[in-house]
Amino acid sequence: VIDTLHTVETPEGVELELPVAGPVVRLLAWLIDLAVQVVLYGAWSWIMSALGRVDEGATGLLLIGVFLITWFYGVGWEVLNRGRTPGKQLLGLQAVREDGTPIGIGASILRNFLRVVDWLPYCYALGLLSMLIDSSFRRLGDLAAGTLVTYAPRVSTPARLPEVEPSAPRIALEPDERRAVIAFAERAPLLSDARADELASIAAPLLPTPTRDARHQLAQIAAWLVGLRSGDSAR
Amino acid sequence: MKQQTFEAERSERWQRFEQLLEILDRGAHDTTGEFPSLFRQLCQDLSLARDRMFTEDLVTRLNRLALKGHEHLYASRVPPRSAVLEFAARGFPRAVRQEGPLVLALSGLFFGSLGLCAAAVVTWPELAPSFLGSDSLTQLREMYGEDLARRPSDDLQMFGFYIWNNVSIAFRMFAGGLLVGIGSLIALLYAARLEIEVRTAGLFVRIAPFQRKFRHVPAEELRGADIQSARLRVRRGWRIYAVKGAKAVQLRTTTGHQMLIGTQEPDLLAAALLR
Repeated sequence: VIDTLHTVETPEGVELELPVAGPVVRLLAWLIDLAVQVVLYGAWSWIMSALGRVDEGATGLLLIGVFLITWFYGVGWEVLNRGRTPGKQLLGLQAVREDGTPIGIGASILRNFLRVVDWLPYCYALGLLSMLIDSSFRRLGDLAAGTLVTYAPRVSTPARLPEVEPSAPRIALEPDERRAVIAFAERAPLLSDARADELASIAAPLLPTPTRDARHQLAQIAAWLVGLRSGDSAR
Repeated sequence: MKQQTFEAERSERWQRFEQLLEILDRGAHDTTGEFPSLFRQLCQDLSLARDRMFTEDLVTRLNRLALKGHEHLYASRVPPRSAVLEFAARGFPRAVRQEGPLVLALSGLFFGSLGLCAAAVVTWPELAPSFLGSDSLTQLREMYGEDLARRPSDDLQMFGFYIWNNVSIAFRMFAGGLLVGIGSLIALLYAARLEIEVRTAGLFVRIAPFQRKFRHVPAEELRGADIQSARLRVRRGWRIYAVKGAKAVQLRTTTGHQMLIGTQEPDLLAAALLR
């Protein structure tokens, strides 16, 4: 399967697959964060201008606030909110270390400060270039800090096979063929009827009765392959 | 083993693991102590599921569970002390104590002579030029002599400005270092600014941060100042101080030097000079 996955080998000796996030979704997350930052700037300058009527030193506090928002917005969120700024959280992303563990303060500072370089010469051009070259969509800041932006793992509801009477395939199937048949049976309800029939018809010549409803027969074979036998209730 | 049996045998265990993850997500602790062993079993199940070519859906589900488990198991609860902090807290004090007598002797030399000089200057003020040189003394006087009536709010303002401006520049330089220093160079050029000060002693100009010392044009040498805001004409032998814009003030001096000073507000500068 060709997919944007970053593989990590854990001490348990198993390979975990991290689904890395591409440039577009990360740009959207960045835009959301930018909007949040603009609101923060606005709120802070509003408070400080109110204070400014009392004390002229408020300009100094204003600048310190602007400094903190500019440089530590990303770091603060990522360290305290498990690698998620508001933009990342809304789009289901998170920044993690390359080994899949949560990001620390050092890595977060490095990847956020190096935005300056990724921005060069204008509008994240260098960062985009780096993301397009790197197989895990890392910008320069990510490469230096050893971090990734991935889709946060969500526990999904298991896909269900259609409830049909299981039946054995006519010929013995190779492992990847078995897998393809099961995957098709799981996904068929998500496809349009015409497309599902079209795909099923490819396998039709190998089915027990090639002339009849291929999709239904494939579902039956899939049920048999996962271990159901006639008489069992589907899982 | 068929996938159906595989799932049926283990699904209860996976559910328990998922519940544990939810508990850990809320920031609570695993009181059962089962977490590590459940995680190891899950990892085995994942390998097995992949090896047997079980359905994509099952493998993805197990992969997600394992990822979350991995995240929790290997998250550092207490951030490890970095090498720099370790050096500041332990290494450096230890090194100082090891070389105690030497450090003490050298500090004595440095601070002792400083203290002696300070005491000498306070007692006999006429000695001051022999320590600093008259140029630096004039500068010091300019810096601290005149406007002692600074208000605390100005201090706070400047404090904020320095943090915003200077620390930001430092961060940008740090980041720019990634591109073999070229990025830093760009940041440095952007940070360059022309500093012009008109004091009673005359005009002081420098391009920070490239020039440390101000160029000083004494007030008595100044003859006049002309605003040049249209198209700049530059001739050989002129001293030009400018970083951006095409507006400038041209100085006429008794020594005959031509000086051109770029500025965004030529009127203000010329008016200040002519006073």
